Amino acid sequence: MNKENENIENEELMKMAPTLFGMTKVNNLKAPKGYFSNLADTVKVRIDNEVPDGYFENLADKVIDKINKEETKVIPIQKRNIARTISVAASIAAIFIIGFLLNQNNIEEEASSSNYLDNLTSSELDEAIDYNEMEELICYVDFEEDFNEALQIENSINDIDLDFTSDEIDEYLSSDYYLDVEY
Amino acid sequence: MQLSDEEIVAQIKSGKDSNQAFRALIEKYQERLYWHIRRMIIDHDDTDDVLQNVFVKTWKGLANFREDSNLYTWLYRIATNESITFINKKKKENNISIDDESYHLHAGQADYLMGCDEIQEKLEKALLTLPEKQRAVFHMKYYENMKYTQMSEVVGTSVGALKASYHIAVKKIEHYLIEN
Repeated sequence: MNKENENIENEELMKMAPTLFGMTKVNNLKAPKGYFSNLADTVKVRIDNEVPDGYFENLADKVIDKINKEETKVIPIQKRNIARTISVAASIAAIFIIGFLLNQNNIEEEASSSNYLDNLTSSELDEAIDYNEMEELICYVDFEEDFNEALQIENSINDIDLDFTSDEIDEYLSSDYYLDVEY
Repeated sequence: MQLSDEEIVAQIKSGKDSNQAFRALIEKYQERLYWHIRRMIIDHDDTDDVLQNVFVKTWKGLANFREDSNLYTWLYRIATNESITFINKKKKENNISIDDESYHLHAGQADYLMGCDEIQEKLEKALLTLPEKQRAVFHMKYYENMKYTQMSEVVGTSVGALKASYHIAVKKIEHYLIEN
């Protein structure tokens, strides 16, 4: 403001409000000591931690897009490895037979797990698919069939009177039949 | 050497050393804006909060800042709007009409008057009786000697209306000083 205008305004003020005009212009408010030396840093921190503009407007769309992409993910099923399937089936059958012989008390509990795959929810299966490598997935899929097959064997064994002594079990384990099983 | 407003804006917009330029902007205007806001809000902590908001908004808005207007008045405009928004929000929280001129933001806001001499205390109390916008106008003219044209850019009101507002504020204060 130039001097001339300032003088005019002062004259106006003097006429309108002589008491106010006669007062000294003092700032009665005080800012804390050192406040201005830190302000730029404080503002910078706030800017760095600001949620970007429009973030929440697009958030729902982003989440839905992501969900849709995950749901439509194509999982290629490789050709079955027959030899591998047979060996896995044989292994499982052997495990069940040995397990049965060594611990008859556990048979009922293990049989109850035959419905495990049927009881899995689709989200649990999805989780398992995401978690496992593809190779493991294939084993898992094959395992389901093999597992059912093994259960059938196990159930048929259930009907047999299997009251073995420990000597008989040792004899069985050292027999040619047991050792000839291919894995 | 202090950067000019044009240099600050250009540097921030270019993205090169923008943080440094923005720091320069804050350091250049922080005190003036602080006192402008503080005069309206009175409480330091609230002023600090509003001032930080002003700079955050400035940072976000600089990309769209039209350089035909003055950075200084643009900052004052943001500060004035933020202060009035803050005051109205506080009034709403306390179920007080936005038009209530006598509302004081904090019961303890008069603490700063302790230590003032009697006549200064009267002046401060007189200022608190003014509506926020009028208090802002009075402050810009009386304490900061701003031109009416600049003030017009800040508050988005015509020069004539601002002159009238300032004169009314002056008369109210004078009346208060005489009566009390």
